[in-house]
Amino acid sequence: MSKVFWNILKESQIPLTLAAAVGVLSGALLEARLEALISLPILLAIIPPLNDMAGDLGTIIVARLTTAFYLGSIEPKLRKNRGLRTNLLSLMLVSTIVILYIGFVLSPIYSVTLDMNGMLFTVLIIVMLAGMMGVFFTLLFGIFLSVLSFKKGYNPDTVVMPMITLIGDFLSIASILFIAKMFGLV
Amino acid sequence: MSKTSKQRKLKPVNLKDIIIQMKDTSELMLDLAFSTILFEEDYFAEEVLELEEKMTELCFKAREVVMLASKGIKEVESLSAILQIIQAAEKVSNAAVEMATIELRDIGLPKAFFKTMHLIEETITSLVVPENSTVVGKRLDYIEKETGMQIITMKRNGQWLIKPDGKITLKAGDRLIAKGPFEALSNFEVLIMGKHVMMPSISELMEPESQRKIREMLVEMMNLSQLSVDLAYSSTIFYNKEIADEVLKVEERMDRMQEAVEHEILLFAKVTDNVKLLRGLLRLAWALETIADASVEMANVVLSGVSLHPIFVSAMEESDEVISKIEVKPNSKLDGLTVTECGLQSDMGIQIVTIRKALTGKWEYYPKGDTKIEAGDVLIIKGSKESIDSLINLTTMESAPNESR
Repeated sequence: MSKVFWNILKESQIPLTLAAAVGVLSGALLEARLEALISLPILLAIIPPLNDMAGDLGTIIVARLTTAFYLGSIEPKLRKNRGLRTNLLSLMLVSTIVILYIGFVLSPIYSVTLDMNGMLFTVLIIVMLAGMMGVFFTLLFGIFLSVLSFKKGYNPDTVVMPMITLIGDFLSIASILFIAKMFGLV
Repeated sequence: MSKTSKQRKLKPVNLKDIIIQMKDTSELMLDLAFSTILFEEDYFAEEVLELEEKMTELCFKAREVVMLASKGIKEVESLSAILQIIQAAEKVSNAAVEMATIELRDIGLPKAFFKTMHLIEETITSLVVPENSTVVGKRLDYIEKETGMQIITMKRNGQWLIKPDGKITLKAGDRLIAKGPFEALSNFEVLIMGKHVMMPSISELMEPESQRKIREMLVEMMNLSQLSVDLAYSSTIFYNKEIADEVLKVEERMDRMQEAVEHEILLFAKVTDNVKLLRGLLRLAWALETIADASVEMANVVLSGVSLHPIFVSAMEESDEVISKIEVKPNSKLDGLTVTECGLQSDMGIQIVTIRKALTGKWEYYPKGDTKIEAGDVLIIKGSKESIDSLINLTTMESAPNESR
C-alpha cells in the first residue's frame, strides 16, 4: 500500500502541480473578466462544452500519438511529419463537427433559455471560432507533450494526460474571451 | 535501482525498429553460425554469442514497448501475436548459438561434411580477392549488385567486419564471406577470381559410405530449416493459412529426419573412435530441428486466426532481406521461362523460396532450374529490397533479367 502511494506521489507530483498552476491561471482569467461574463451568461454557458471538447480531443491525440511512437508507425519528430499532420487534421475535422453541433443545437437553446435572442448569430460565430482556436492550440500542445514524453521516457497516462486536460481548459477559456473581445463583448 | 535495471531502463525505441533489428540479427546469427562450421573460425562463434545478448535485450525491450503501446483488446491481441513471432526469432538465434558452439567448444564435425556445405540451397562461400582481380578498387555494393550474392563479413588486415558497409572499396587480399542462391555462386566466383572455383566432388572427399547418409540428411535438414523460416515469415507477412500449413508439414518432415539422422549417427558410432565428432553432428541436427520448431510458433499465429498488427508487415518491408509474393500474369515475360532462364537467382540474387503451380495448386520448394514458370503461378521470393523492387518493375517490362542484359 505504502509503495503504491509513494509511486503515485513520485510520478504525479510534478504534472499535477503544473496542472494545478494552469487551473489556477484559468480561474484567474475568468475572474478577471467576471463582470463581463455575468452580464453575458451565454458565454459562461458555452465554456463547459468547449472545455470538455478541447480536453477530450487533447487526450485522444496524446493517447494515439504515444501509442504510434511506441509502435513506430509515426516518427517522434515535430517537423515534416506526415503522421502528425494526418492526426492533427483528422481531429480538427472531428472538432469542427462537434463545434457545429454545439453551435447549431445548443446556442439557440441557450439563447432562448437565457433570453438573448438578439445575439444568436454572434454567439454562433463565437462558439465556432473559439472552439476551433481552443482545440487547435490544445492539439498542438498535445503533439508537443507526446513527443517530449516519448523522448524523455515519461508515462503518458500519469504525466501527459492530466496536463493536457488542464491545458485544454485554459486554452478554451482564453479562446472564448479572446474571440468575445474581438466582438467587443468583454 | 540495481545496475541491471538501470541498464535496461527503456530508452526511446519503437516496436517497428525492434522487429527489424531482431529479424536481421537472427538471420545474421544463422549466417555466422553456418560460417563458423564451414570455415572453422572461432571469431564468428564469439560474434554469435555477442549477438545473442543483443537478441535477449531486444526481446526484453519488445515486451516493454508492447505493454506501453497496448490500448484496447484488439490491439493487445494483435500485439501479443507479434510478441510470439519475436519469441520465435529468439529461439532461432538460440539454435544459431548451439551451432556456433560446436566450433567454439571444439566438438567439431567431420571434415568431409562441411566441405560439401556448398550443396545447400542458400549457399555460403569464402573467397580471397587476388592481386590481379578486376574488382580491386570496386565497392562492395557493386559486387552485390553484379553477382546477387550478399557480403556477410569481410576480413581486412586481420580484422573482421560484420555486415560491412556497401561503400567500402575492395583491396587485394581482402577475404569475403558471402551468401546467396546457389545459382549466383559461379557469377560471384568469376567476378572475384576470374574463374569458377571447382568445389571438391563427393567422390574426391573419400567419404566413408556410413558418413554419406548422415551428410546428405543434414544438408537436407539445413535446407528445410532455412525453408521453414522463410515460409513462416511469408505466412505471417501475407497472413496466408495455406503457407502456414506448409510450415507444419516441413516441421513434421524435420522431426522424422532428426530421428533418422540420430539413428544413423548411433550406427556410425559402432565404426568410429572419434565420438566427439558425433556429438557435433547430433548437436547440429538438434539445432536445425529447433529452427523448424520456432518456425511453427510463427506460423501458429496465422493458423490460430489471431490478427497481426500492421506494424509487423511494415517492419518486414524495411528489413535487410525482403520477402515478397508475385503472381505471374499471362502477359508477363516470366511466363513460359524456366527458373534458370528467367535469371532471378543467377542475375538478380533473388531466391525463389517456393512456387505454387497454377495447374496443381501444390507448393514446390526451392524449385530446380528446369522448373517452368507459367501464368497463374505464385512465387514467394526473397532478396534485397532493391532486387525485389526491380523484379516488380520487371513484371511489367518486356524482358526477363537475363534478356535485358
